Amino acid sequence: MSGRFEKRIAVRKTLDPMTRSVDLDGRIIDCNDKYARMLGYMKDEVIGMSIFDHTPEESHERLKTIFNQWRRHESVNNRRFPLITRSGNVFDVLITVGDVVGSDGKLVRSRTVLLDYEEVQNLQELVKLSKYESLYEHSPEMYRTVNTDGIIVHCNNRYAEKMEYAKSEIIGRNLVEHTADRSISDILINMAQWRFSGVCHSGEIWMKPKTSKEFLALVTPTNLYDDEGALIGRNVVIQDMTKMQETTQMLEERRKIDQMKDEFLTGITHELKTPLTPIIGFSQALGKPGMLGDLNKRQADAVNTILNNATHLKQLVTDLLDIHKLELGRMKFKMAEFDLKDLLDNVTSSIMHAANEKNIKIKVTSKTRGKIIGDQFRIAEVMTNILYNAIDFSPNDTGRIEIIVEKEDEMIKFSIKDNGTGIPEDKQSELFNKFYQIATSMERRHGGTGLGLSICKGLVEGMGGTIGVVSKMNEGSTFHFTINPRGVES
Amino acid sequence: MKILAVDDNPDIIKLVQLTVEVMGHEFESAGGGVEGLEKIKETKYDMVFLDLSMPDFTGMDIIESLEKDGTIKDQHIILFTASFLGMGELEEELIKKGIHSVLAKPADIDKIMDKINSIEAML
Repeated sequence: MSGRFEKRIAVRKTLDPMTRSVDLDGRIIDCNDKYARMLGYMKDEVIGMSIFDHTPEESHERLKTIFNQWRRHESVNNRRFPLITRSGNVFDVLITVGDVVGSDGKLVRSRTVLLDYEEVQNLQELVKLSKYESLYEHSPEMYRTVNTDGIIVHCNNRYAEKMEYAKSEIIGRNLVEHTADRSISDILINMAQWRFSGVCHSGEIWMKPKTSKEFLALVTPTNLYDDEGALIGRNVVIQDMTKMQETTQMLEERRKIDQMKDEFLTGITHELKTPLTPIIGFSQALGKPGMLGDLNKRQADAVNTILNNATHLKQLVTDLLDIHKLELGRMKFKMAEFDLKDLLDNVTSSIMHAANEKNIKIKVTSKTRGKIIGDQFRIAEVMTNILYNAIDFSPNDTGRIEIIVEKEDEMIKFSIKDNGTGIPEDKQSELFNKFYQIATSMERRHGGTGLGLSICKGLVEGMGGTIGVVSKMNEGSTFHFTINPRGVES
Repeated sequence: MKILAVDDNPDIIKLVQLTVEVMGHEFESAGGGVEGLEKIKETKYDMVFLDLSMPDFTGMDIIESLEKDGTIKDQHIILFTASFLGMGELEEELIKKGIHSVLAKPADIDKIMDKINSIEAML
């Protein structure tokens, strides 16, 4: 009975594992206080005793086997084994034997860790009793249970699998052994604070599996108490953060690339626009009467060709910037009240020249009138873009284009209907993709960049609407888009 | 009118000069920000075409300097720039600081003429 008492006091006082060091003859050459106390001795008394003195007689044969295994360098991990106290009480420990090797590489002595089996059982029992047991055991996350000294007393399958050890190799190990060097000081501080205050903090540490690469993990501990409310350990959920870390890194890289792209585009468009200024300006000056003298017809044609191409280049630069701003969600819309009639007048007058050149009739049907709130300039841009397409793809002389404006639910719907060549069904969905038209843009007269419809889509969506097309081959196409007449915040 | 163009690109200076002189106005130029600010402080111009991005001393530096000494309201500054002004915010902020307006590069020659005419109409 007194042995039992000795043991309980010892457990109360400290949860250190017992340790002993044994020479090649089985003599104990060192031990810790707990080992001595648990067995009912003073430490001085233990030194020099044989390990057989601390083993019940019926287990001497097993001890011999274990001892010889150790001497043959075979590993001994968490072997359940009985110890006997001074007063004859027997209790079980989990025994793990480590080697201490001399400079010649030969075995000098053991360093043996003995965990009180009952203590381990208690902690394991606590885990098993908890309603989370099945979650623990079969969780896709790693779980381990440690005592207050950081000795791992239990773990789940996933933990063993990720750390690449058998469970028997894990139980009894200090968690430091599974921690990467760079996180050891963190975990020791965390453990010390926890023992001191009982408060456990979650945090990130680097885990060290047996052979694989170290990985970052989020550890989230929960305290475990015994029946009397004493802190005896903690359950820890360990989440592999590798994926999240990779994602974060990837996002960060992408952000940097976006920023570089942004700076590059801003810089390059500035550099492109600057030389275009005198090219466009002087081409126009050459064509203006009274500025730089008169040109003959061939010279005037040549200058006009320069101007058209420079204007095309300018549009390309503007489109590139627009698409970039739309992609980054950085397009700003200037919301203001305007009259639908003004919008329609401006748009039709801006394309009239192109329509007249092909003798195409344009009809406006406005089923709704009055003022709306929106970015008039950008709405006009979308309409003009679609109208130029309609003019391009409509036949000379017989071409008919109708602009219809009407209310649809709470939105204003603009439709632009032509009797042109139409768009094959399988191409319709691609129309609004970036650069789709670039292959055909060379043949076009009004200098599309291939970005036109994708910019329209971005602008319309940015203004709270949708854009689409209905088309039949040889019958024509109707492009339609909606706009929120109450404006949108940008 | 007496019109100044501040720009580090000599070809753009030439273009503005041509336009200004064809319209019968007096023209002066500065090839950089420091020279531009000196000229603005020395001479009373009716109108200034000001580039934003110039080495060392930018158009923004000129605007801030004129804002600080309170003389910006005496000027008609047209910011003539290829810089990416985000359709609004910066433009509005600069107009609040006291510039007249922004003309984006590359601009049609008609737009340059319109600007000159609109300033002349104000005087």
